[in-house]
Amino acid sequence: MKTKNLLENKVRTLCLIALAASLAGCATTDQNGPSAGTAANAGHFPVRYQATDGRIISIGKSSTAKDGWAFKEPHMDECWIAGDFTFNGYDTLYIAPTLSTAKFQNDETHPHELAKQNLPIELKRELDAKGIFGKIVLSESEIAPGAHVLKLENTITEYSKGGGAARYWVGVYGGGQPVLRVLGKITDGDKTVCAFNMRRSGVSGGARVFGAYMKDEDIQIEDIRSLALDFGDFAAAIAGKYPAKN
Amino acid sequence: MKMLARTWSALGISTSALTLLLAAGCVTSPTLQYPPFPDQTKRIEDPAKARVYVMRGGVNVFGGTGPVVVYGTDWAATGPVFDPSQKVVVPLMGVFPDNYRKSNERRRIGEVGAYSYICWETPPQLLSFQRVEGDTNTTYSVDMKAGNVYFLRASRRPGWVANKLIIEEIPEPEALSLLKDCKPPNSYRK
Repeated sequence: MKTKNLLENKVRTLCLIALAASLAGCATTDQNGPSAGTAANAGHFPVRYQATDGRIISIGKSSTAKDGWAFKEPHMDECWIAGDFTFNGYDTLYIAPTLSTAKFQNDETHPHELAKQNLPIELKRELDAKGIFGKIVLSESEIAPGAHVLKLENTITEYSKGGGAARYWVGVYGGGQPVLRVLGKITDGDKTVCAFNMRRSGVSGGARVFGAYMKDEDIQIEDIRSLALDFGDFAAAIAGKYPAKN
Repeated sequence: MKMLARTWSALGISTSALTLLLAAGCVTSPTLQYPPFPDQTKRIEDPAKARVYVMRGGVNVFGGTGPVVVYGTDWAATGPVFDPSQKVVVPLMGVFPDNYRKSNERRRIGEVGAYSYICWETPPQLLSFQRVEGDTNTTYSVDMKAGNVYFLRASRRPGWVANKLIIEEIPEPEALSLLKDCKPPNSYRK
């Protein structure tokens, strides 16, 4: 009897999880964040924009901070740009090799290295598609002499590769999901013009529901792609590539 | 008995929910590519290069709804590096024992989800792949010449151990008809 009760509870839980994931849309590409419903034009910048692929994205309310603008970006923990900065007017964006100050276990060395390598690749792919910069390079040697360059430096400050066993039991609540926190800094010469802090941990519906059957690296790359998509959307909105949406 | 009936009922609802998840496309993959996406209003952007399309129609659910991952070695292959441990999980185009050397780094060109395509232009070269993944008798090469456009159709079919990737070079009229039903990479959709 007790076993039957347990079985019934497990089935019921699975059922609820599946329905919840289904209702949640399962996807990481839905950019209607918590503040998507708030009024646009709350600060200097509109809050909502329409992406070229039809998604409505939110960059949050902006307010003045440290000679610039701070955003309550729903996809970032912190986000700031300099007062006169719009991502426009640069020939080249140089995405520097990723740094890391994160502490991790010995068996996490390989996936951590993959995260360091894949972050600039995914950021380049996403930003290339936005058409904000004439050229995006991952190596200093590719920068043309005399080019007006913007430099993006990323530092991983928190890292965990996650684990399938934990995802089997509590993956839907975030247990066993990989963790990646990135601090980004964009500089024009010596001047910092943009800074952000983003964290991802098994953001896709697939990772939450079927995470036990997915590889750590596959979930990690989904997280990196989610991070790159959201930063790309933010940059495109500020650069005027997306029209404001009221 | 009543308890068992309730359990079966819950199991039925659970299965339905999972079917809904599948139907909603929750486990289908986005389409993305790492090299520049050429202007689709032109037949070819750089006449010194060949244009390649890898397109995919509907999804065979039993063949898996995940992406078809395309690898290469030329300048267009700028994505994540090939990880040999991925081999049995995801069908890969462009990686098979004949053309994979550890010293010859293979990188991702893109990933193709259902009813989608990727497209890039590349210097003339011989593009080799297995028409049926894992079948050494089906190794096929396309001699890509400057100014020409090549259309490859990818599909996944269920196998005993892992899903198999099928790649076919298709004639232009058939490809253009299929392209009408396919979308470009997510980042380039309008």
